[in-house]
Amino acid sequence: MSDGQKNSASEWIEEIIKIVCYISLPLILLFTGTMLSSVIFSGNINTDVNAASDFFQVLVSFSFPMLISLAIIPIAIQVFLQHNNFERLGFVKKPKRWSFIVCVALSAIIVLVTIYLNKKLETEISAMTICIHFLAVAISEEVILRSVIMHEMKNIISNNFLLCIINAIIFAFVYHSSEDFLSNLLVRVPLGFVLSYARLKSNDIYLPIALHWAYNMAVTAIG
Amino acid sequence: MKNLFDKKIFIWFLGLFVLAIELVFIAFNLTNLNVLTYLLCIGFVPAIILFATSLIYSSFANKTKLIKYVLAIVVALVFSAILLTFCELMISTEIVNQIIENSMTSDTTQVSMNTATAGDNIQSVLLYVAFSGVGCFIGTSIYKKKMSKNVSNNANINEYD
Repeated sequence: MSDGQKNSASEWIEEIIKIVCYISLPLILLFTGTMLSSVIFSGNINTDVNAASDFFQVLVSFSFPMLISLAIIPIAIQVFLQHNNFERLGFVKKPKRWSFIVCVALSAIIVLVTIYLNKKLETEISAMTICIHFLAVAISEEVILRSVIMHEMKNIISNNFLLCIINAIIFAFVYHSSEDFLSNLLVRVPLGFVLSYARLKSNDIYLPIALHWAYNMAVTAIG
Repeated sequence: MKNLFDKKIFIWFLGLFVLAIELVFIAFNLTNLNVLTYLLCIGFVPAIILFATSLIYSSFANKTKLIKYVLAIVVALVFSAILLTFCELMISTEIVNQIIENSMTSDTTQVSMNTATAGDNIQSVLLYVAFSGVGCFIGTSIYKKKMSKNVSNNANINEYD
C-alpha cells in the first residue's frame, strides 16, 4: 500500500467515525436534555411527548432540548470547530425561486391544517402547540440529517442516489428506532429519500424542513 | 501483525478487564438497581470506560492513524457485542419488573420499559463507535502534539550541539 492510499483510507475511516458521532451523540444529548428539563420544570421524568399536558411543558421539555441538541450544537460544531460555512450546510441567503414558492405553499397548507385541527381536537394540547412542536421537530431532524450528516456523507459518497438511500435508512431506522420495522421500511425510508432528494435538488435546507413539517401535520390531521 | 500487537495493546485488554469487573458487579447487584442506575451501569459507564481506553491507547501508541481508528472501531464493536450478550443472558422479565419496582418512588409514579428493537441495538453499537472514535481523535491529537514537541526539542539540542 502506498502512502497516498494509506492517507485516503485513514481519512475515509475518520469521516465514517465523524458521521457516526453526528448520528449518535446528539441523540444522547437529546435524551439527557429531555430528562433533565422534564425533571427541572415538572418534577418528574417524562420522555414521552404524548404524555405532556400543556404548551409550556411541550415547549420546554421537548421542543427546546430537540432544537438545542439536534440543530444548534451540531451546527455550532460545524461552523466554529470544523470551519464550515452556513451556505454549504443549506442555509442559503437566496433559495431557488421554485423552492421558495413550494415552501410558501406548504406553509399555507400547514396553516389550514392547524385551523382544521383546532376544530377537530378535543385534547388538552392545542393545535397551535402541535404546530409549533412539529416545526421544532422538522427543523431539528432536517438540520442534523439533511444538513450536517448529509454534508459529511458527501465527503465519502459521490453517488447522489446512494447518498439519499443511506440518509433515508439513518432517518428511518436510527432516528425512529422505536417505531416498528415495517412502518419504517414502507413509510419513513421513502419519506427520508424524498426529503434527501429535495435537499439535493433545491440546494437549501428550507424545502426539506417545510416538507417534513407539512408531512407531520398531515399525518396528525388524518390520524 | 507483529507491528500491530506491541506492548501498548495491553491498554485495550485493561479496558476489557475493567468492563468485565463492572459487569460482574452489575450481575451481583441487578435487583438493587432502578431505571436511572440501570441506564448508567449498562450504557453510560461502559461508554466512558471505552472512551478512556481509546484516549489512553491513542495518545501513547506509536502507530499510524489508520491502525488507531480501526482498533477503536473493532474494540467498540467488541464492547457492544459483550454488552448485548450480557443483557440477553442476564436481563429477564423478573429482573425488569424488579427494576421498575425499585424506580417507583410514589404511588403516582408511572414507569415503563420496552423491549429493545433492532434500531435500538444499532443505536447502541453506533454510540460505542462514537465514544471510542472521539477518544481516538483526542488521543491522536495529543500524540501528535507530543511528537511535534519532541521534534522541536531535538532540533534545539542539535542547535546547541
